[in-house]
Amino acid sequence: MFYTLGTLLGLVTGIVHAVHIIATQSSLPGPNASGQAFYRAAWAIVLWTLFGGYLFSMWVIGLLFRAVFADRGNSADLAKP
Amino acid sequence: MSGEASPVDYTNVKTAGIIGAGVAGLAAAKTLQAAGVACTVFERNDAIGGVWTDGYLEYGVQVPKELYEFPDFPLPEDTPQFTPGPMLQQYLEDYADHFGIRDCIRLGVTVTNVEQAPDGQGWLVSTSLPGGEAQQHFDMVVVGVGLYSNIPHMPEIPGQAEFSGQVHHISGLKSPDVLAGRKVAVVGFGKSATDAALLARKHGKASNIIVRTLHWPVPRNLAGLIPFKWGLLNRLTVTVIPPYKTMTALERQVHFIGKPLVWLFWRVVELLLIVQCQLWTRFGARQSLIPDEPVEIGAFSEATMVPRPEFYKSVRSGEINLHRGRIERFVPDGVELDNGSRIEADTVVLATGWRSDYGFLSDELQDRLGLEDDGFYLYRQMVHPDAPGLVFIGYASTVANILAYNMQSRWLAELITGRHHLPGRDAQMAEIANLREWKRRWIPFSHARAARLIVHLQHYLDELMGDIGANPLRKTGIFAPLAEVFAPYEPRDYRDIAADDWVKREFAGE
Repeated sequence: MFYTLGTLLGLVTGIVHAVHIIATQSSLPGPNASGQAFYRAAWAIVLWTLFGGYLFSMWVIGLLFRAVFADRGNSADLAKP
Repeated sequence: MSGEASPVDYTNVKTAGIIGAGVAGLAAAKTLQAAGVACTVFERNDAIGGVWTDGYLEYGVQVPKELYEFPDFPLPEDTPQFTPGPMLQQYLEDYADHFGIRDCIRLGVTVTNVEQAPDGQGWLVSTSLPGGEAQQHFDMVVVGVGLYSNIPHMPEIPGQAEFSGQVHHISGLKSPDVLAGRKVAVVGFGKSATDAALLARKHGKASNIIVRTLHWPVPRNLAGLIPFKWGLLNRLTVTVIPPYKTMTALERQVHFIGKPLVWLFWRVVELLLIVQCQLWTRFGARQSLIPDEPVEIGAFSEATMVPRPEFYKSVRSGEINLHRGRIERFVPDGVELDNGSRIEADTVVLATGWRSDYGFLSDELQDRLGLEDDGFYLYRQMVHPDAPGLVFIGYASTVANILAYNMQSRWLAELITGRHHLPGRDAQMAEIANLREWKRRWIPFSHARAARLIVHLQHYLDELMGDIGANPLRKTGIFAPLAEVFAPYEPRDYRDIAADDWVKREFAGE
């Protein structure tokens, strides 16, 4: 169930990411920028859909583990004075 | 100087004095000369190469050769995977010859002072050389001395007079004779310290390494199989490291919604490193080799290191004795640590790094640049609005320094050609304040914290590309979208940008 849910979530995320890519990368310098942006957007949808289930499963596992073992937190929090 | 004053017009720059003929100075000279600037490079050593002119026994580059080469001048094909120091020095000589910049390099000349010309137009560079002293005027001065000089950092340790053995800085370790048959104690835990401990194991009677703070190692090959660049230098990893000062919408979501995933990712990385390097190995008073800092923070500390593969094996086998602590004082037959333990030694090697040397900048100028304990904070790591025309190339510590310095040089050259312009003073100062606040919030303290970018090189390069109007996405080919996410970024990806005709190449086909 995690995997199916994750794949659907991945597909939705992929579409959102694809729209973001087209919006931001169509105006990059260089030849055929909008064609490149659409090509990258298509890849984004494929990759997010393929890995969505895996990422979602890991997200849930991370949430659980972090709640139990988060004495070594992540990213910037730790180095704050 | 306050308010939104007009920034200096770099398009009037016709002459540049470049301090240092190391990697940064050479990249700057080549790029600026091609942009029509008459360059004079001052190098205090008698050879080209900066820190690569002379090093300790068996010194070399700690990252693979494809990460430490000029984008537009690849290393020779027969170069070993990790370039030995002397070979790199020769490569830098070849670079100077290939691009015709040798004639503008003045070897054996020490810059003693840099000051703004009295009329505020340009800079005066004072030099000393065997024949006497001289002063020369330039429209712009490029400081290309990098982060560290050849001047050793020697910590003051009490009781050295009582010590019956020898004390060397790592830079003095030129011959195995220094270590032959001796009980050696190496101080430090950076790349040079681990190299020295291995040399002591090979040539000496006993090898000890004294470590104040443990660091996460970066194995040459992750899980013994995949070169580390695949795990560290792609955009996917760069997205999950502690975020850059400016975040994309995607990165914001990754660090908000995806926080548990990011946390889990780094714990898995730690687990892999612990297993691969067997960091659970016990030494001393039931301590392990596992560092205290999380890996994603430790990677930005002062001693990011890629040790030789045999180092951890030697620690595990007991051929190298690792001691955790700080040297309290010398005793006649060794050293005493702050935890009270004594290490017997007749040779102590201080692998404690090198000092930065900005002594040629007057105190007044250093104040203007805002020098603090953790270094200079500069706009784009290069310029400060209160010292117009003084540019730092090479004041950035990254995973691929040659690439960073080449792109800094390109950015500077395009500032001179007028392709892009600096924002006003207030905007630059706000950006500098933002940079300072961001780094101080999470990067561990070091005297070069202001220069540290490490894996954030990718974000920095994206900024520079954005400024000069180049495409920050450099991967090409049918799988470019995939490569953009998963493949490592290397100097060769920026070959077109380093080329003198980059604008033509970048926009061909438009």
